[in-house]
Amino acid sequence: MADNSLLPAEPAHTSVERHDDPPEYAQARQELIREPYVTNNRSAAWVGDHIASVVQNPAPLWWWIAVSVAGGVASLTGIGLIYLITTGVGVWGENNSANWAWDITNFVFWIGIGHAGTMIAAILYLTRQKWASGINRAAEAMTIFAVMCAGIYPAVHVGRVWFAWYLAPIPNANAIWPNFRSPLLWDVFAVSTYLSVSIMFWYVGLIPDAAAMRDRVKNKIGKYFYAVLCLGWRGSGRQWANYEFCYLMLAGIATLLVITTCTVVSSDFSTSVIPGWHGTIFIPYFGVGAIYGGFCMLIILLVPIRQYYKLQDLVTLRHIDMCCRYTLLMGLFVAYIYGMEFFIAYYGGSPNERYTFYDRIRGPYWLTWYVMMFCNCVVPQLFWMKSVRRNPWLAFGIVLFPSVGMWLERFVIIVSSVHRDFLPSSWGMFYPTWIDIITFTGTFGVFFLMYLLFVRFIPVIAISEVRSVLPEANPHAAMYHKESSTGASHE
Amino acid sequence: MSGHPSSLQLPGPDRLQPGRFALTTIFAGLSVLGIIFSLVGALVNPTQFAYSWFYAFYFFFTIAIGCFFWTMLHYACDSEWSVVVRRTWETILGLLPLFFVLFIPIGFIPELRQVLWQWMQPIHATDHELTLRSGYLNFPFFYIRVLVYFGYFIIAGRWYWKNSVRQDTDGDPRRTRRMHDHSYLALVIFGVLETFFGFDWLMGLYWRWSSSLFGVYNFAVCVQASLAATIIIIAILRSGGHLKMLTYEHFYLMGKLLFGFTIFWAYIAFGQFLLIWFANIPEETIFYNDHNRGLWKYLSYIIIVGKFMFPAIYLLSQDNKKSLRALTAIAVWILIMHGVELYWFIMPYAHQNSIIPSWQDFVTLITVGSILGLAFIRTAARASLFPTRDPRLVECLNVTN
Repeated sequence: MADNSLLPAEPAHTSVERHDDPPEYAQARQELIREPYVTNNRSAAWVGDHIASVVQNPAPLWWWIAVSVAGGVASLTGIGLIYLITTGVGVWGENNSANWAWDITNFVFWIGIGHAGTMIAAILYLTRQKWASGINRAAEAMTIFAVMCAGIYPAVHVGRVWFAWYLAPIPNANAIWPNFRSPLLWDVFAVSTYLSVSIMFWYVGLIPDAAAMRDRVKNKIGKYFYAVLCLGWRGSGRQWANYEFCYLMLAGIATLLVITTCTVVSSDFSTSVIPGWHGTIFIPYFGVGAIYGGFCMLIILLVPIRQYYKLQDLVTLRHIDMCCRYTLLMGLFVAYIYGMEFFIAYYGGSPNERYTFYDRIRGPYWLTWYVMMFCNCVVPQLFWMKSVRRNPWLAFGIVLFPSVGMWLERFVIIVSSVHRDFLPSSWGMFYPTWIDIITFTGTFGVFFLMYLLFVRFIPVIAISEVRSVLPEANPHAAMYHKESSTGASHE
Repeated sequence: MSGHPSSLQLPGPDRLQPGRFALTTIFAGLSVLGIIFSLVGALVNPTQFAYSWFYAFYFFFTIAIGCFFWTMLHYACDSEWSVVVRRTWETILGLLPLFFVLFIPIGFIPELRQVLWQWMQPIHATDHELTLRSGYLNFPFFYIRVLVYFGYFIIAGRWYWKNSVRQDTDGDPRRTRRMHDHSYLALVIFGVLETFFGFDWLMGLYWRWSSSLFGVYNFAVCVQASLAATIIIIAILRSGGHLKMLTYEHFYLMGKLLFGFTIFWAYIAFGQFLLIWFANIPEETIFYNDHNRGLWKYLSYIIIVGKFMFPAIYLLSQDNKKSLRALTAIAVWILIMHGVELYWFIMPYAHQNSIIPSWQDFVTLITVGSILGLAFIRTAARASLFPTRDPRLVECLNVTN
């Protein structure tokens, strides 16, 4: 006979909570109550007013300073590119064995951040992660600007940039004969498709908010701008039904596309036979790396914005906490992947593969590998602590490390795998030139400049989506959530 | 579900009574017959027995390990929808000690283990290729790993099952918090262990071949199969009058996850193939050459269509995900395809040039399945079929998506 002693004998009841529960259960029950998505009991009207005020109020002084600095830094990229185009790609540090180096490292770094935004927004939407309503607009905008920064490199690295249009998908009938087997073309196809869909996904999500802004702004130019942007949105039930279906479809398409694009970028390397590049783990590698770098960048963007625009009730400590958790998760994934690469290099028994990984830790670029490991695998472990995850500026400081680490990761993969190739007589070193360095530094200026402009002219948080997760929108669910007034996330 | 959740009448404990469950007798009978026939098979053709038993063992072990992942994921995400499904996973975790017993014939009998993992054969002891890997592929370390795999999964699985069942009696919410806190580390350990048992047992069938993605591939196999198995078990229990509180919302959620993980499996399996095919390095392509020789090639095609294309298209439909009948049909299909895939993976090492099904393949599958099925019923009967006092039960019953 089966042992039935563990079976409770109680009849049907209405709540798992009983009046005779011991008092020590109370604290755990309190901890189990879900936190609100918007703290301090804010109303739907407040949400709309507060987010719109970021756009409507005059730009604060810090914004002008930040724009000036970002614009100044961005000009470095302009100088670097002009010098490159007028002189030739010889001004870069690439050489005969390290013929892929700085430019593709930067391309992969930016495209990674670019992938993350849409991936975060689309996947979290598909999986009904309601908390993401507070961050998805910011994440999607990040995508677009990062992809633009990434796009600079494939375009200009071809040498004679006036022939870059050969990369476009021109029909063979025109006798241009693009080489479809070249990874460069895969990148162009994948990234341009990805950019189009990301812009569309971001833009469709923006339509109801653009209409809200149209109705709010007073000046004529602003009204005209938002009126065009919102495509005549009136907020009828029928429009909402079509809109939500469309957004869901786009989220599905964007998810598949973003995973495909990550894989295409990784296949630039993994389809080769170069030790250190050819590994089947590259299939999820770049996607994981993208989300990792993306969440770090998102925290870097959100923490100052929520502070300076007083958005703490909308981008709450819970949001920062969740972003930190994902950062930690992705940090563990990349640690797993680094481990697998090393293990299979050993287990596979190939001397070339083994040497490449030995070279990473003992060769001339050893420092980049150790710093990468420290930044990507060690520092994020601090996020195991709740007190760290719930301290926005501390989280901001911590994610700077994996942000550097993710750039180094691409450098390690690319440069340390090719600087010593199959022929020892051609071994060499790669050192960036000053043109390399200023061009890359300037891309941060480009990115932050565009982001600051976005924050100034477009609602940085999706008003309609945040409203849909307020208790007002779903009164029956209220009992699972902490009373907003007791939400402790207001700093 | 209308009205405020607090007005909901929560269901009482849902007991499974083995004596009144027709499958109990069937499983008991098949177990006894199966053990006898398996013994005959082991004596008549031990080589075939080794492969067939391993095939049956791995088919069910992947499901159990997948259930471990789902349980940990439930706690780590603090999710509400899976509360009523969770006990099914936990019950399967309770069977993990039995898996160790089922592993003994192939893992510890020298004549059988060296049939499967040929690096164990004395003839390879001086093989240069093996000495290169001898830091990992050696007897003591292999058995240390075996003990770690089983030891961890048994202890952790049992701890979760016990805590969950005890909560039915005391309703202590601290148990939920504790299980939640431990689940993160459990997921990390799970990731490492499932990778390495995949390397050791499945990839190790041909030790000269390796793929750094194999751990992820093994994970994709486990997760998809275990979810399909969960749906089937729930359908069987419901047909017996249990778990009636599950609504189409729960089926829809499971259907969506099944869809997602079907795509994930295809992505990983195809990606692994694509990179190996493209780079065309003989040490790597040999795996796909061996698995596409003769009739095995057609099985590859069946897997592509049957394990990915058909389920993915079928599960696109919302109606198919919301109806338990339709969802169960595809879950059964996916589980069959899981069997086909493992057969395609394992058996070319036994019959290189063509598919030669043996009676032992079926007997071992039925034997192992019946033993586990019987144990499942007996373990399930020791507690309610869903956690009656889980703090998220009300949310679970009201879930919408």
